[in-house]
Parts: sequence; structure tokens; C-alpha cells
Amino acid sequence: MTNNSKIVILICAAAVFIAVSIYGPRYPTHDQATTQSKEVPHRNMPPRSILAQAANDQISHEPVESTSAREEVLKVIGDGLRSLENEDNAERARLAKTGHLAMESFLQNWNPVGKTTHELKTLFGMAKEENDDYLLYSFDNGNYAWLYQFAIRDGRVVELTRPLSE
Amino acid sequence: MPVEIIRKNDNSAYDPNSEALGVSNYVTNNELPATSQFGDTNPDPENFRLQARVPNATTNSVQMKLEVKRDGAVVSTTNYTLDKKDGDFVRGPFLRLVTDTNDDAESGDQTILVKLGDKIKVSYDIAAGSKVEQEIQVGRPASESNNEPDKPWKHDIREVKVRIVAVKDAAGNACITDAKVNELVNNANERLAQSGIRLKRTQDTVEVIEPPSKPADDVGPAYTYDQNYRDGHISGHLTSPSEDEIAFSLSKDGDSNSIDIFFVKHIVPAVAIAYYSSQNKTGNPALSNFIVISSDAVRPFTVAHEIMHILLNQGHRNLEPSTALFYSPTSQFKTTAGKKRIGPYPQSKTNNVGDDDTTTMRANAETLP
Repeated sequence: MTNNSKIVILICAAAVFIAVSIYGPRYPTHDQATTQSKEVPHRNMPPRSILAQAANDQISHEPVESTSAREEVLKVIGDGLRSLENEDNAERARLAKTGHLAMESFLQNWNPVGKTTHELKTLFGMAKEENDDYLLYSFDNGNYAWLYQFAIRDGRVVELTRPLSE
Repeated sequence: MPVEIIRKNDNSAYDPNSEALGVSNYVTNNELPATSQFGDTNPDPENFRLQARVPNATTNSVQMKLEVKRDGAVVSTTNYTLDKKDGDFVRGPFLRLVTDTNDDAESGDQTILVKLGDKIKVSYDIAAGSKVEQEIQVGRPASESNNEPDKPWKHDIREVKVRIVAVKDAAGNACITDAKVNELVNNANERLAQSGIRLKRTQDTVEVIEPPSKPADDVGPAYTYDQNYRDGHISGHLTSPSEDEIAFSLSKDGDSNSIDIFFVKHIVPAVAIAYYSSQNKTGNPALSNFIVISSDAVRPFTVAHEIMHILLNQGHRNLEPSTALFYSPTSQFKTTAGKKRIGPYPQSKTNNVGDDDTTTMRANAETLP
């Protein structure tokens, strides 16, 4: 192999590396996710950077590409909040845990304090429990749940707590 | 003439020799009208009412005394006025047996506080010196066996054996007191009574043990479980148990029909985890039918809720009624509207979730899944 050939190969490898670093790996669609192994629940989690970007995008209302990523994250959260609709134990456990992890990541870049209950429900759907004092969202794996309790005053979130469940 | 004072929800007479009163599964302020006419019936199959024969045609009401007896002693007495008349008989309002003081505070004297095994004695004077009385047990004796879903008045009392263990904390003390355990067991008995089930402890006091050693810790310092407990339900089933789970399974009592309840200082990520049989895919039966509970986060109904997991042999369900004991998260308080009920009751029927729970739990109570 000539020196020129080696240089070309190195340039190509660098280009591939940069492309993968920037664009991939992509977060799978719901259909893709559900066809993957059910034994590895973390596998379908979106990379943290994408979640963070999605959260930022939501705040800045930027490009279609980012909005799409945000919607995918919110879909993971929504699926996790409806985990018990699945009869299969493995699937409900996977959905609950990935949803909970997606929520954790989402909240790192999205501060719920000050948001209205309407905004919460627009993002996450109906709460498992709702009254004048709080909205409770639950990612239930069948055995226990990860809970997110948004305390409400005058129609707005004043605090997020994480009570334990049975 | 047979004494037929105690009447069912359809006004037919109870036979105390083969039938018993039962604790209601209904939300206490639901379907318990303050007054009912003589011929009215009631949808709660465990509601009952009292009937008396009037001494003469001009008498329109009778005073009836109802006593709750426990271990031979009267623990409460209530007088009722029976004034809904038809012919020679009068009837009172429908009554309901309940098991905690919150429910007992509802609906005046129409709720009666009991435990399984209590006796209800009713009596009235039909004439000077002439008393009519009848006595009936709450739940049929444990020696009998009946689990017909639509005949709760035939149900025998079923006993679930439980072994209660407190793991020592980092300071070397039991992580939970006897008094707190007694309170939780009492709460569980109050809740499970609606299914005719009560707990039978294998020891009168809490068994205190050293933290179960994990294999890797055999030569190291004792692991305390004060902060961490690893849950091995990685894929919705228990296929690869954690070292913690193996350690606790090795600390069980060896009785396949007792539930071992381990209190530790604190576990993550839940208040409690129940190891019910259908989730155990390890092939090792020791990894079934035990419960691990955070003593520093336990709630009033945690023990009862986790026992439901074991007896139903299943996880949480979609559309669980918000008043159900199997709803997660459980209630922080014992209020009437709290998550306290076990199917069948109207909400379980409406949601089509848990309507068979009493039947299933009773079937599994004495021979665990």
C-alpha cells in the first residue's frame, strides 16, 4: 500500500468516526425498540446527549430534527407511564424502566417548577393521580414503581418529589 | 318457632349453624343507606339487618341489643331501634361489619367494629322476663372449608402463616420495633379480614437476625442493608437473582407455606419488594414467597399489599381501582376513601379488575403458590 493510499484510508476512517460521533447511534423508534432483546432493559435508552439536546430543543423550539428527537423522548416517557397496559411482565418492566430513565434525563434540562398543570399534561399525558395539591406520574414495573410527584400551588408546579412505592 | 333475627342482604334468614357474618369489601360509605323499608334489599352481600317479632299489634318498634364478643368478653354494645313494620315483624336499617376505626366512624351505628372470629349476639325482650336472642360468628371456623365466590357467608377463616424478621442495622439494633410490627400486622389483619383471611405468626415476637451474608462478604465486614438492596427483576422476571436476594432466600425458615417478611433499614428503589412465585424463573423455590420491606419507609398497608402480591401471585394491574388495596402506591393514611378494598366490590366490577381476588387469595392462603 502506498503512502497516498494510507492517507486516503485514514481520512475515510476519520470521516466515518466523526459522522458516527455526530449523528449516531440513533435512538430507535418504538417499533424497533420493542423488537429488540427484552433481557437488556437499558439497551433501548436514548443516549443521554440526545435527551439533553431534546430538552434544549424543547426550550428553544428549534429545528424539526430536534423536535422529532424530543417527541421520541416524550414517547418513551409516555410508553413507560402506560407500562401496565402490557400483559407481558418483561415488556412492562422494560417500558417502566426506560421511561423512568428517560424522565430522569429529561428533567435534567427541563425545570418543571413554574409550569402549569396543563403544560405537564400536554407533555406527559394524564397523571395517575391528580388533585389540587399534586399530579403523580408512575412508571410501574408490576412489582413497584418509580414515582414523580409534582406539587401544585395555584395551578403551577412548585416542587418535584420522588416518593418510593410498593 | 326458630329464632331468625339476623337477616341477609336479601332479607332471608342466616343459619348460625352453617353460616357466618362477613366483613364488607365495600367502601364503607357506599351502599349503606341510613334507612331502608321493610322489604328493601341491599347489593352488598355482607350487609345484614335485624328483625324482631312484635309482642302485639299495637307495637310499632322494638329495641334490639347487639353485642360484639371476643374471647368470651363483650367488647362493644349497641342498641338499635327496629321500626319498619310489616305484619307481626319489624326490621332495622342495614348494618355492616368493618375492621378499623376510620370505617367504624362512618354511618353512625350502622358500622360495627369487629375482628374475624368475634361473635355477634343480638337480643330483645318480647315480654317481661322473656328474652329472644341469637348468636353468630364473624367468619366460619377455620376447621371448615368453603370458598364459593358468591356465598361469603359460608367462608371459613383462612390463616396465612408469616414469619417476621428484623435485620439488624449498622448500629447492631433491630431495624424495627415489636410495637411497629404489631401495628403493621394489625393493619394487615384489618384489611385481609374482608377476604376472610388473617395472619398467623410463627413467633409471637419479631425475630432479630444479623444481616444475611452475601457470598462475597464471607471474609469481609458484615453487610448491613442500611442503604442498598439490589433488585434482580431485571427483565420483569427473577432470572438472575442478586447476591442480596440469594442471601435473604437462604435466611428463610424452610416452610414452603409460610411467607418470610424481612424488614431492613432501607432498600432501593422501593418501599418493599414481594417475591411472588410466578416471577421466579430461577428454578429455586427458595426465591419465592418472601418480602423485603424498608422499615424507614413502610406505610400502613405495605404488609397487606405485599401479601396480596404473594397470594394473588401477580404484579400490579392496569386500571386497578383507586380504592383497592392492590393499587400502587398504597395509602399513607387509613381514611375511608383510602386504598383499602379487596374485590369483589362495585369498583372492581366496574373496572373489571380484581373481582376474583378474594377467591384467589383464599385458595392460596394456606398452601402458597
